[in-house]
Amino acid sequence: MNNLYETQRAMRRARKVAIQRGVIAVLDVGTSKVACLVLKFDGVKPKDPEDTVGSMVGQADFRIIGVSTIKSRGVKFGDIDIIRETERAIRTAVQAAQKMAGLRVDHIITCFSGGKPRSYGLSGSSVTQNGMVDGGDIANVLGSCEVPQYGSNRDALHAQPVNFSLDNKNGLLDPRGQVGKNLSVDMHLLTVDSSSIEAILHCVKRCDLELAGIASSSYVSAISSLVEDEQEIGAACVDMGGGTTGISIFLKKHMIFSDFVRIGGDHITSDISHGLQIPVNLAERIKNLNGGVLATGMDDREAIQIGGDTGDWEHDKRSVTRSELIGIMRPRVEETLEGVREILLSAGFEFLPSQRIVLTGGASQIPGLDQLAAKILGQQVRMGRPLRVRGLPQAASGPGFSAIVGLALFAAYPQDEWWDFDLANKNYAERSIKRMTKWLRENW
Amino acid sequence: MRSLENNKTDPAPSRILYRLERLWLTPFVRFIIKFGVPILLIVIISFTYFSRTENTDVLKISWREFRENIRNRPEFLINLIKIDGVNHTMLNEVRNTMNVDLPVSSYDVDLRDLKSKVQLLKSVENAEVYIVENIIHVDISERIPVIFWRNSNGLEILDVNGISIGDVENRKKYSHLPLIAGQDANNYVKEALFIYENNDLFSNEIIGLVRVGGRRWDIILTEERKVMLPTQDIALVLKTVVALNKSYRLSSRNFSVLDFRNIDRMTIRRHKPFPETVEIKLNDVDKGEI
Repeated sequence: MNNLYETQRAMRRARKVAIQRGVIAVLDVGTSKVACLVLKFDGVKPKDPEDTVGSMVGQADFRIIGVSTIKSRGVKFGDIDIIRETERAIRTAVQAAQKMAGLRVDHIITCFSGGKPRSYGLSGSSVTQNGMVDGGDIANVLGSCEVPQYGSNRDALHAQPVNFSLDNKNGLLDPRGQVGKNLSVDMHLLTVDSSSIEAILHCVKRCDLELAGIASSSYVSAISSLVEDEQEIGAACVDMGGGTTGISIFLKKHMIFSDFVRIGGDHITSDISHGLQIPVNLAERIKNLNGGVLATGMDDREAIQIGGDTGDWEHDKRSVTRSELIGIMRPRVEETLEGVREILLSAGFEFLPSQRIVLTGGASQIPGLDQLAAKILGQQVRMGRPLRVRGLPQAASGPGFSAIVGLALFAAYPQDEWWDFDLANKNYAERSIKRMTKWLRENW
Repeated sequence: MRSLENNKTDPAPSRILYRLERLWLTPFVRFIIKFGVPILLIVIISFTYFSRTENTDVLKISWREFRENIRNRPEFLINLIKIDGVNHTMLNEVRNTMNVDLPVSSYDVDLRDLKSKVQLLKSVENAEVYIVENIIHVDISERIPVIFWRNSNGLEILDVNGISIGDVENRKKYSHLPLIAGQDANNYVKEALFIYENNDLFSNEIIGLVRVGGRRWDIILTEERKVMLPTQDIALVLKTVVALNKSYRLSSRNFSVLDFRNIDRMTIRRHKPFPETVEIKLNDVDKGEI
């Protein structure tokens, strides 16, 4: 844990360097595609750095100057399966984006959907040092949280303070500067498998890049596809990707819960492939062109050539009706949405002030999904697309790109996490030794 | 296990290519390769070339030949010097002074030098030297001899500004020119000429003018007579002389000196055997009675 704390701090420092240099790349390693954006920070900063409520905060100060999307390789269920393949995919994507930008990129922020993310709500409390809350107090209270035993082979990906309360004041977003005695915090901790992070770190390192941050893709796609009031009063973002479907619940602009369903668009494709006895790429093509989840009478008459080139005339001239295709796709989509519903139920989503559900991600483009989702998840379902950011080409503004766009926003304007606060050293002796070594280093 | 390596169809760049691409996108490296390396190459090549003397000699010689070829083109060749504004005797003198060997390229002619050379000649007042259509034109305005000046060195001819045109042995050549003498007389040539022009009375009897004491003129007449003029009001005196002549017939009188130095007290001195003084009152002259 402490090791990761240092790693995360190093990433934050790298991010700071990258923003100073003005160029940073964001990379989404998905199951079906790898997308890379190169962001250029123009240096248009808000006048007051403490002002975090401007209309375009986090979006106005960067521009996308390089975009590339390629087919993903070596990724299964959002996890890197074959490291060398994924490394090549990342290399291709980064090189293409660099080429478009005409700039060399040294720092990269990445997100991934795998690693079996699991979220924990933690709480802790401590007494303020000198009456007024400062950064050290926040570090203290964050350090006082009772960390659950999430397993030795898992690491914290996000550890975000969600809510502070000071004495009897509750619902504070940032208690710094407030006067009080008992400070308590609710923290949302998201853990993933260490091996997934290790694999990503390895790939990025092999590409001569420095990792400046790592995020969960269900979190970042919610950042870009939920509008501000949805994030404020409560909403769930369902990021339907290729290998997994990630769910994140937002309240008061913080992610309070995240989980995933291990079913995605690739499963639908493989179902089609199995059911119609056709190759996977043809199945993908048929899914994209003719797919759907709501059959009508018209669909019985619409024949889809599924062919083949075996040389067998009977085999090569096969065709299916669209309703047959829908018959294959629909159960899988229903299964996914039911999984989502179960997760939302177990997370207590119905107790939130608003039950808006936003479907985004590449697999959410299936025609008729909104009506099917309304039947399963309730009426407050809408389709989400990523926020518009400067320089994003039209081709990269579909729902499939909400994770990468959200990652760009995350890169420009990250949420304070546990590692952003200096850990107060409890051991005074250790601190004095550190001071001594520092003094020696400075003076000799 | 089947190998994952199938680089033939792999669209991904190899690690080396990826690194090279990144290197190429580095601004400093890019600048060095685009500008630094070519400049360095040019510098090195030219340095090695010019460091060998035979190379530079070849270059120098070819450059000189190139220059000579252009200089000696017929378009720039001068075959004639045309001198205007001088007589025949002067012509050779001017030609010798200019000392130009024809034919000559117009690049080798220093017009300013030629002009100053020609202007150094004594009889030349001003000279314009220019080239038009392969001919050097020398337009000379000569000094006009107006007067002889006899001084301790001999006889000189002066122009109207008193500048010496040359020394002469005798007055035969310009016998019509008047004569002046005396120290500093060359600076008052205009005054002397004025006296000559306005002196109707003795015009045939004048031998010359003598500058006396560096301040006034004596008109020397034949038969050892002279007229002494004042320092100022010469015109008035000359008029007076004409008027006096009318009434007193001065020219026929036997005088040795007409003394007008003091205009209020003009004096006539007779020759020795007849000492006789005629005093003329200026008042009478003014009234026109005499």
